[in-house]
Order: sequence, then structure tokens, then C-alpha cells
Amino acid sequence: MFREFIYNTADAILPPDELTFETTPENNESSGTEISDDTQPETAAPVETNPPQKDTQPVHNYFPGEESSYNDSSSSKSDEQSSKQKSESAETTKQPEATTAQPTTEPRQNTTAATVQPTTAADVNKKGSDTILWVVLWIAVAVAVAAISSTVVLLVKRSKAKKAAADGINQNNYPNQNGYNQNNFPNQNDPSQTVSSEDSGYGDRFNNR
Amino acid sequence: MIAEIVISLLASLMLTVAAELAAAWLLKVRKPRELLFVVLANCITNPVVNACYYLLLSRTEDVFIQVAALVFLEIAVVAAEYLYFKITLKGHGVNKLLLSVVLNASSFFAGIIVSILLMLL
Repeated sequence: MFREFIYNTADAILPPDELTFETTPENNESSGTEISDDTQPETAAPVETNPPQKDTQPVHNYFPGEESSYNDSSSSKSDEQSSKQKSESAETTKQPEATTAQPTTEPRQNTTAATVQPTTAADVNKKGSDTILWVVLWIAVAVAVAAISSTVVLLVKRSKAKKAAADGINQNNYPNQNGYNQNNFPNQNDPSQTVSSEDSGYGDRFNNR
Repeated sequence: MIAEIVISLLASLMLTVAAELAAAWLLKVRKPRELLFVVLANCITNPVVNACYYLLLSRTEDVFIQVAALVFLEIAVVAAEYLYFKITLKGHGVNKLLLSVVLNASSFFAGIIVSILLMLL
């Protein structure tokens, strides 16, 4: 009973394939196990030199309720070790690609890492096109401002020309404030500006005839 | 990229000016200074409207929004040119609002015809 308990604990600590409970003393020395001589089984039946298959029932089945788990654990411990070694080696090779192949516990990083690069390029292209369109808009605004200023200049010129035309008509046809035109000749239509008869000396002769 | 857009804007402006001068001639706006005002009106409105429309096309792909924006921009152009002709073509007897509507409609349909011809070619 006590030996069975020891065997179970030993199996739990070390896999059965590592245990070399052979009857030869040499093998016992090189077994590398921590089990003392007192715990060596009397018969060879519990010794499992070959890696046990999954279907085989273990001898040291002290806990009947854990048969299935123990079967899986005991029978596949060798597979687990080999798989662990393989996974460890695989992990070391996959470390450079950790950014893209991270474990499932961090899904957010995968999605952000997978989606960051395309959006940055798209954002750069969009920003570039937006800046170009804004530049074009400013060029169009400059053209519009130039056209408006040209319009203003044309309107000012037109108004000046109209004003000058109006002033020229006034200057050519009508007297100034002194009653004389630009040529400083008396206005023939204004009788007050005619030469008086007393000045000329001819008034009485002509009037008295 | 900028050069291509500027060239397309210039081509659009030239087509618009040609169409509107033809329509203005038909409406008896024939004096050189009056035709010059028609050209200047299009230089004020056409590049700005086209640049705004290009910006809108780059921001959204919704056809309804694009059509609504186009209609809004055309109405704004008609209103702006009406005010412009009211100031610049005072001595002319033509109805300024009618002139603005007819000129812009002619340029709009001329643009559609040219785009269809380009698609067929």
C-alpha cells in the first residue's frame, strides 16, 4: 500500500519513461531518479520501460476517479514533452514575427497591427489629395479676386469717362460765371454784353436815321 | 497633380466662356465692354465653383449629396452673376436675372454635351 502510494507520487513527478526500474543494479544507479531503494518494486510488472500507449491502463492507479485524466497524462506525457520542446523551439523562431502572430489573448493588438499600415498609407494619400485641392481652391480664389479687381477698374474708368464727357459738354456750350466763354469774347446772345453806342460813337447816327 | 487639375479648370473655364458669350450674343449683349464683363463674371465664379465641387467629390461618394451640392452651387452662381450684371450692365435693357439664368444654363448643358462626347470617344 505504501509502495503503491510512493509509485504514484513518483509517476506524478517524473514520467514513466524516465523511470528505469530495471532489476539490474547498473540501471538503478543511472536511472537518475530520486526514489530510494526501498521503493523499488519487487516485481517487474509496474516497471514501464517502454513509453506507455494511451490505451494501456496504468498500474499505479491509486486514484480511481482520475483514471481518464491519468491515462491522458501518463500516456501522453512523453508526447507532451516532445510537443513542449517543439513548441518552445517554434516560439523561438516565431519571436521576430510576434507583432503579427501574437497569441489569442491579445486580439486587439493583432487587429490594430493588421489595420494600421493600410490606413496610414490611405490617410497619407487622402491628405495629399486634400492639400492639392485646397491649393487649387486658393488659386481659383486668386483668379476670382483678380477678375473682381479688373471689374472695379473698368467700372471706375467708365464712370470717369462719363464724368469727363459731361464736363466737356458743359465747357464747350455754356458760359462761365463771369458771363464770358473760354475765348473771353462777349456772348452775342446776351444784350448786356454788347458794345454800348456811347463807346463806339456810332449809336446816335444809326438810331436817328 | 496640381497641374492636371489646373488644366482641367482652365478647360472648363474656356468652355463656359465660349458658351456664355454665344448665349449673350443671342441676347443682344454685343458691345466689347459688355462681353468683357461676361468673361470676367465667369472668371470670378467658374474656377471657385469647380474647385469647391472637386473638394466635395473627394470627401463624399454619395450621389445624392453630390447632386444637391451641384444644384446649390449653380443657384449661387446664378445669383452672383445676376448681381454682377446688375452693376456692370446698367445701361443695357436686358433683364439681368434672365441673362444670368440663360447664360449659366447654356454653359451647364454645354458641359454635359462635351462630357458625353468625351465618353463616347
